[in-house]
Amino acid sequence: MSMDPKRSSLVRKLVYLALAATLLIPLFVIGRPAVVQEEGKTTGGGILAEMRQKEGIAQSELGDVDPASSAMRLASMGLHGVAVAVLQSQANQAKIDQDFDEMTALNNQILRLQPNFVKVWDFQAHNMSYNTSVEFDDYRQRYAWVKKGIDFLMEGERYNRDDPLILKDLGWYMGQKVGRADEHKQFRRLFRKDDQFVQTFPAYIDINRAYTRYGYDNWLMAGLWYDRSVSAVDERGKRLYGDGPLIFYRNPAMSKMNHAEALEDDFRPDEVAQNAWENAETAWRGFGDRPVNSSWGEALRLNQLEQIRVQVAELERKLDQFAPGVRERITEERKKQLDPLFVAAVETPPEERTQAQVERVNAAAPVLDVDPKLIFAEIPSEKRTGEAVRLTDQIAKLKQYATYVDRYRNQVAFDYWMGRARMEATADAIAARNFLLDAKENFQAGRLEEAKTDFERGFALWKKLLTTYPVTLESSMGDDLTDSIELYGRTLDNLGETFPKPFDLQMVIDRQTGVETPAEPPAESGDEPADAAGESAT
Amino acid sequence: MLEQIEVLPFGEWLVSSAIFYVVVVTLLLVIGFAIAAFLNVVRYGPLEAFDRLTLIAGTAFADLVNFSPRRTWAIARLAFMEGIRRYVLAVFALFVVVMLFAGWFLEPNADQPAKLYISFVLTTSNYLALIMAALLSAFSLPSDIATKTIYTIITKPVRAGEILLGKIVGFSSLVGLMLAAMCVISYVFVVRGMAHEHNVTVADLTEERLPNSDIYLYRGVTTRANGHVHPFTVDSQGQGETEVENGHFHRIATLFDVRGAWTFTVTDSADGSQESFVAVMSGSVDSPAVQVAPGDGSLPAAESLETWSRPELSDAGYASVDTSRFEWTIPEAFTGKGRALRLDGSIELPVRNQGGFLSIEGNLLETDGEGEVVSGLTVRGLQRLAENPDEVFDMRVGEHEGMLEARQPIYGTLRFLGRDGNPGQGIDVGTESRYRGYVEGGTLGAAIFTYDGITPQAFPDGLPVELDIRVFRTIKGDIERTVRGSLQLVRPQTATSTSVVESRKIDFASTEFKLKRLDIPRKIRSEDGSRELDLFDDLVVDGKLEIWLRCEEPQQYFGAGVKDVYLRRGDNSFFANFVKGYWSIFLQATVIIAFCVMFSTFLKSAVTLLAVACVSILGFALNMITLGTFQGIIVVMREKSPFFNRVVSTMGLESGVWGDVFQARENPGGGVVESAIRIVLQKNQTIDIDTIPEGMMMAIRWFDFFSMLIVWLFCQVVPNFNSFMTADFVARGYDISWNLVAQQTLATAAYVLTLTVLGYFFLRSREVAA
Repeated sequence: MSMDPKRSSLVRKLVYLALAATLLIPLFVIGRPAVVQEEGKTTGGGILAEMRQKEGIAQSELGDVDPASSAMRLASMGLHGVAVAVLQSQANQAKIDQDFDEMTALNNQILRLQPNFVKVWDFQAHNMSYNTSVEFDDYRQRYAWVKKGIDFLMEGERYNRDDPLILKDLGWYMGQKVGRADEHKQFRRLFRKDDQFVQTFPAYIDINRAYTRYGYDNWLMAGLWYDRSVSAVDERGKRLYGDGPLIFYRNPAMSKMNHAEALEDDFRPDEVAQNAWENAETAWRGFGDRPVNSSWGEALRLNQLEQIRVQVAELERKLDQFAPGVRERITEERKKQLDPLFVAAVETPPEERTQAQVERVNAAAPVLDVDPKLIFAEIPSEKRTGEAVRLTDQIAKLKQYATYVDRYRNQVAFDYWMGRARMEATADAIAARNFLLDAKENFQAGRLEEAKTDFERGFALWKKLLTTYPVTLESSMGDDLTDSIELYGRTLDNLGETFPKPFDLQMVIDRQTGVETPAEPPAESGDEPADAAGESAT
Repeated sequence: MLEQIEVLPFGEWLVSSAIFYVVVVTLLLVIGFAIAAFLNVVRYGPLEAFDRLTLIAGTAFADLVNFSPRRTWAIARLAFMEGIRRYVLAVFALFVVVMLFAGWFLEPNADQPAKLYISFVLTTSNYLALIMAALLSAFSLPSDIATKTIYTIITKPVRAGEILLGKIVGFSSLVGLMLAAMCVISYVFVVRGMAHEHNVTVADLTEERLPNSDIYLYRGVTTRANGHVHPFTVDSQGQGETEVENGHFHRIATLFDVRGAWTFTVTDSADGSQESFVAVMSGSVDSPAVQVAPGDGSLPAAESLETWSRPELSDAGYASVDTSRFEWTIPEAFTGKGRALRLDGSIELPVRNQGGFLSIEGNLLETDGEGEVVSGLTVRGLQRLAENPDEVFDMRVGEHEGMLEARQPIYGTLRFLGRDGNPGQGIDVGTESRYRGYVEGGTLGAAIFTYDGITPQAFPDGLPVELDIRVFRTIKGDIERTVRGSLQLVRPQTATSTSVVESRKIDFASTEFKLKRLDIPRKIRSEDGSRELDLFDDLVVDGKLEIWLRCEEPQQYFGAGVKDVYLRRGDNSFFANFVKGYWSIFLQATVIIAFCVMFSTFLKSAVTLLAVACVSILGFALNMITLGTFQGIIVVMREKSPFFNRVVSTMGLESGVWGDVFQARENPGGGVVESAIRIVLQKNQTIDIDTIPEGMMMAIRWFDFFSMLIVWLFCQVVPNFNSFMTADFVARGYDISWNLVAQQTLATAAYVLTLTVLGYFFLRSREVAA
């Protein structure tokens, strides 16, 4: 059948057009973007949008599609891996040449090419906030580069909504980089007044909650980002990766502690600081109440330790009724193997123990602890009822659990921070700190008598505090006190007086020097070094 | 990196390049002739070959003599039209699209936004122009030959050389035209991208009194624009400059718009009588207008005001501190004395934090007709002007300055003194880039820059020095303060002048990653303060001067490279520099076109593209290939082969022209094949490959050596595109010297000429045009 060539061409074109239109249908089904409803939820959308939604990749929403990124990936025709490699090497060269603008521009391109590769955001942000910032000598420029890294992370978060790693990093940079750098005083000062910067934070960060009397606080701001990262895991079902759960969940509460600590560093301690410590304690308790998945496979609650110990004591008492006197016998036998120093420490009533003795008791505890199975073994066979088996079993399990909790608590210096927050929130602590500050000012102004009085009042209060909260001795906090003690010594020297004996804060000196001054005469050899230096508080 | 580009003086460059050019061209001629002779002898026998060669030589000579610019131009126009039909518009559209979307990737709030923008537009234009040049020219001649259009041309009295040159000229003018358009568009893009406006709220200024003086300064911060703010300090008249942020600063000028009565009294010292006046002042500090009427404080009616003569301010402007001298003549109607008075005093126009104040203080000198002082009157007045200073002071932030510039630097040579004051090298503080050497602070260590060509004509007002140094701290020190350093002018030691003449140290606080400018006056105290030195009489010898850079803080370091401290001779127009940048791109495109046209005389278009791509990649990577890789194999060869080593030493290759190649001591690891083997065997560069017999390895090395030798030789004739890249100059605000422009243009001309001749012979040998 012959056809008019013109018509045949027309028919062919129409067929092509129809085919093209038909192909649009699957394209539509696959590629249709989702529609954003209220509260940021998305509905509808094609297969790709659904998959993106499921995997939590951002640009599933219409209006959120980033044309630049899409265009660049399209233009590289599947070779964006190669392009990224080339750009990375150029960015690295730019860094070597200290051409940091060029580096930033290249980083931007790299991230347009692979916006959902979280580790790249992480890497480049770190590059800016940590590596590039220190290349500059002027702290204001450094601060600007720290901010650039943070900006970069925020942009990364826009592409990767609710990514716990990026959110946690945001908290980390805002807290640790701003608040712990060599220039932290300057950085924190700049941050306090940096309205322009904090206004750029996304709406879900309520910046007003990080506003204090002095301005915006970087640690509180960090806490807000940590809160967000926690809620991304808890409420939005994001997978937690990078950090272990213990450290991850500690972050929000820890940033409150850091906030309170920094306030006392920057300003005179007052009710604002007191309040901050109270809040920190509440947050810390909250952290202790939440279940944390452990590496032993069970979720632990750090606050449960005391409760479990009471429970164990109760159960042990019940178990002992099956074999009266056995526990006492075993304990006595074990005491004989111990160094008499330790036995003496154990036998001293808890409220009279010196710091060294407390440590010895802790060290001796695992030795003196009696395994319920040993007791069980000594129960006469006729008494070995189901109840005894159950008790033995339960005690063993609870003890195991307590060990786990204890280890986890040690990892985050749980007791220390709890004690510290409680202590610092007291009016005595505020007064004690102020006395020492007054004393230092008086010393510098040459008012030695006043300085001396202030020092002594401060030390008296500190003694009271440290005795009530002995756990707080184990930290760098002691260093602050040591400085004051040194200054006090110089004050006395200048006044021609000798160092008082006994001295209120002898325990702080002992701790620093590692030498124990005998509190009471008993023949203790003074060369015994104090035990493990304790948890360093970070 | 800009710092590493060294531009030779033109004469020096010309001589060395001309010698090299002649050598290469002679070699090419000899080799070309040998190949042609060999082929002809094989094909036609010696006699016929001789005939043919003489014929070719004869016609070549005739073609040269009869070369016609008119015919060449005709071909060029044809090529131009052909080009327009092909890709030009598409490439141009692509450029426009790129410009439209560029804003998404470029941050105007970068530290050096101008640099970012300019290097972006120049690099984009560069790559697009090169791609277009290659596409345009690679297809032209092969398709002419394929479609036999060439026959319609060569039947006309057009010579092969004219066809080639015509095509080169035609295509390059087309590319040039496109680049001109791109140049204008990107210029607008850059200028608009950089444009921004800051404002200032006078009420937010903080007042600061300089210690032990009555001088007030006012500090503030501008509003945010393009992602940055500028802190600034102005004097009490509201004049000053902002700090440099993002590579630029703004000048701040304050206009006074004074409304309200200003009263002052005039006291006659003779009889103690007083009279009150009300004045209204308006205008700016540079030209205030004062209207005055007798009265005691209430605002006078407008018609009762009469304008005093406009005061002549002798030293107004932001250089003065807080007062301006003036001389007013008060018309006799206002003096109440029946005679005119001349007021000689000062006026203070301070910017105060809480409301504005205007005060006046001085003496009214009564003069007779001859200008002699007859009697004295004192005048004193103070008036609070307004509660809100923003109603009184209109503080204006000027255009950005320092960003789109074309500075003309004079660079010196650099040597270092170690911490003991003896000549040494700059300290390596462990930065990856080795460009800068470091000087230890608080020691005798110094970086010494020696400049040439320092004449009173070039620097009539003293030396403007610009520094871009780096700071390296080994201790934290005072974080809030930058590290202090000093510059000192020292007379160079020569055979005839050995006396030590040193200026006092000029102290400065370091800044990093932004230029610091220090203006050194012509008259400067000597180091011991005993006398005043003149820059040209005492310190400069034969146009030479030394500037010593020191770090003044112990345990801190300053880093400097040879181009980090320079004298700024003046500025050229930024637009002209921008055009020069595009001219470099045009030259690159022309070289590419010449290569394309030459290759296309004997290669198919796709292969031509491939060949040109090879040339371009080689041209861009030349700096890496020429020495680095070649040296790698040479080091190994000299170590492994005694024969090779003997040849090198007996031929004296370690010195002379080949010196820097054969003296290599670095980059071990071998050539291409050896490296490939190392990758497979996972052997790093420093260990021996023991799994392959030594004889085999030696053969591989010889192969590597000869293949590398060929590549290296080839590299010598490939255009070094890096030396054509001037984007960095424009982007960083340095003038592209005419010297460099001339070198590039001449080199391009040489390439075009050589490639045309080469192409001519190739085309002739194809017999289409014979």
